Amino acid sequence: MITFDDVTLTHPDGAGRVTALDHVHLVVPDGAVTVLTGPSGSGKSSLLAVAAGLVRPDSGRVLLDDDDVARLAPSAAAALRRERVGVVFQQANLLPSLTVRDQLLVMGELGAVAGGRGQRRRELREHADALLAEVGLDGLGRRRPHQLSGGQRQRVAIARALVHAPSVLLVDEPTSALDSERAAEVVELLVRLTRERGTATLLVTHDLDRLNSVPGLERVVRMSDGRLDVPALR
Amino acid sequence: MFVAWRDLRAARGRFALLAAVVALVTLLVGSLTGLTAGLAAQNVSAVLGLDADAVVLARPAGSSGSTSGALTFADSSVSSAQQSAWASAAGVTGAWPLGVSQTRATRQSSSGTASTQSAAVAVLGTDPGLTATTPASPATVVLSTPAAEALKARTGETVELGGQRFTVAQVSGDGWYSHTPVVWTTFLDWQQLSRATGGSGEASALLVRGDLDGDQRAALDTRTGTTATTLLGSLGAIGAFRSEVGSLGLIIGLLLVVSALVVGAFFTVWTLQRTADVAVLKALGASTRSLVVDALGQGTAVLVGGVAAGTAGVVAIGLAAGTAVPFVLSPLTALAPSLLVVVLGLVGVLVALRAIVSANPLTALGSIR
Ligand SMILES: Nc1ncnc2c1ncn2[C@@H]1O[C@H](COP(=O)(O)OP(=O)(O)OP(=O)(O)O)[C@@H](O)[C@H]1O
Ligand SMILES: [Mg+2]
Repeated sequence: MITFDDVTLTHPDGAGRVTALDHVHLVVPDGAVTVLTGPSGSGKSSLLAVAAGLVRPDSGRVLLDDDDVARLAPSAAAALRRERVGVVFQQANLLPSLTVRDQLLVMGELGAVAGGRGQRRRELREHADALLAEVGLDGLGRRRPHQLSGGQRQRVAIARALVHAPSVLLVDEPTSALDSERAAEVVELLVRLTRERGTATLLVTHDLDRLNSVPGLERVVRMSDGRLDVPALR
Repeated sequence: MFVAWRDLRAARGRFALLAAVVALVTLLVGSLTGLTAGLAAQNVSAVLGLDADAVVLARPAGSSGSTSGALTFADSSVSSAQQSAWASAAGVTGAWPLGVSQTRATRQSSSGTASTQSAAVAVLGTDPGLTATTPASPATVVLSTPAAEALKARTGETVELGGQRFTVAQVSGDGWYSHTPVVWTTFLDWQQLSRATGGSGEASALLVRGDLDGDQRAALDTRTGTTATTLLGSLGAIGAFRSEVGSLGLIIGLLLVVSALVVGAFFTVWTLQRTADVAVLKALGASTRSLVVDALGQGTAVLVGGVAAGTAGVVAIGLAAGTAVPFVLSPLTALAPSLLVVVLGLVGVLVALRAIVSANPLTALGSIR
């Protein structure tokens, strides 16, 4: 569960400051996808960045389960991400030199200076292959990103975000590079995995219309000018 | 090293190119170092092999005191008065004359059938017993191995120096002086030789043993009108030693700078090119430490690979050069330059690390690459 409690974030803007998040209250519950939508520049990515510990808000608390991300130093926030947070980006942002399977295995190496070995490594590989099968990429583990379609790449990114079994999944515009059909498929996959794994998923998208056909997107929060339009969603 | 190894494999062409450049720089630096050491040895090995705590040089008595320029063995002349002054000074256990001159030596045909053989040599005369290669008795010489080779002379044969005949008592040592092989004589024989060839017969230098610090040396210098240095410092008084080693050293230094810049530029461009990847890894939770270790490991792997290939080339050149070219192949001349290339290359990699440390994970969010 993610709890935003009175979160305000400003960015320096010339002489003054621009308010990206304005006293935001929001709860993202486990096992469901909470959709955050709104016009460009309304603060959607900012909210996601705050939840990921990538920026510290000016004030307020951001609780991932019981830990206040807003108080963590950058290195501690990074440690929290690699242990408990999955992130999916607008573009799949896969690493070009890694095979599909390695894109998942790299999550186990992010804090490590030396590689894992033997038994553990084999287990991780089997786990990664199982997860790839689960997102519909069975048998593509040896390919490289440039050998995949856009939709397949985004599936790899989703599998990567889930490989360390995070309790929180943060997804920023996962479908903007895909056509409507592929977009619906990817979001359907996110909804299914969120339910199966019980993650607290926050999905940012600016065009909700394309996702009308996807079931399970009941929790929708609208944002404009850094404020939530439905503050009652707590 | 998870991502680093896979980067190496995925971009092996680019890394192979860099490793090749590193290998070539190592090869150049290594062979120049071997050559410099070889040339230097052919210049100074005889003087360097002497056993002295100080070497005393002096301007000849007749010359004006204002003569500028550094003293050399060739134009130095130490009088017996100066020698006694040094010998009797406090802290000095002994001061012995050293004669240095260059002349032609000719091997006399022993049987009358063999032809004669002559070569330019350096004649170094000291008191018997002062060096292991000084002959014990008058009218005999000790040939250094290169001198024996140049004259095709063996022990027991006769060699002519400045019109006088000497018996070869022994062939020993690898003495060179100013690129000519060394013939060792007693100091008395050297004096005669010097006078016979128009010299003064005064010693070229004094070899001083004793417990002297720099201040004491300087005080004695002022009192006796001499210039004393350490044995190592006296090498500068040999012909072109300073300019030779200096200009080759400058080239080696420039090459090392070039290698650091090339490696630094490569890794800077490489790292900048993958800033976006680095930002993604950070956004996923990668610790900056693991990313830095990754990049350092990658740089080290490329550098060590290239340098190992280059060093192998230096060893091959050294072995092929044999005695045809003055080339010293030793652990020091082969490995020290290689190590320096690795270290300077890593300095270049360190510069590129800044881009990794400063990569902002926020840029991975909502960005189209
Ligand atoms: N690093 C920054 N420096 C200054 N201002 C920023 C920075 N990041 C975001 N902003 C500003 O904060 C506000 C919110 O930006 P944010 O990226 O959260 O919007 P968004 O809803 O994600 O928009 P989009 O749909 O275009 O991605 C905008 O006015 C933006 O200009
Ligand atoms: Mg955005």
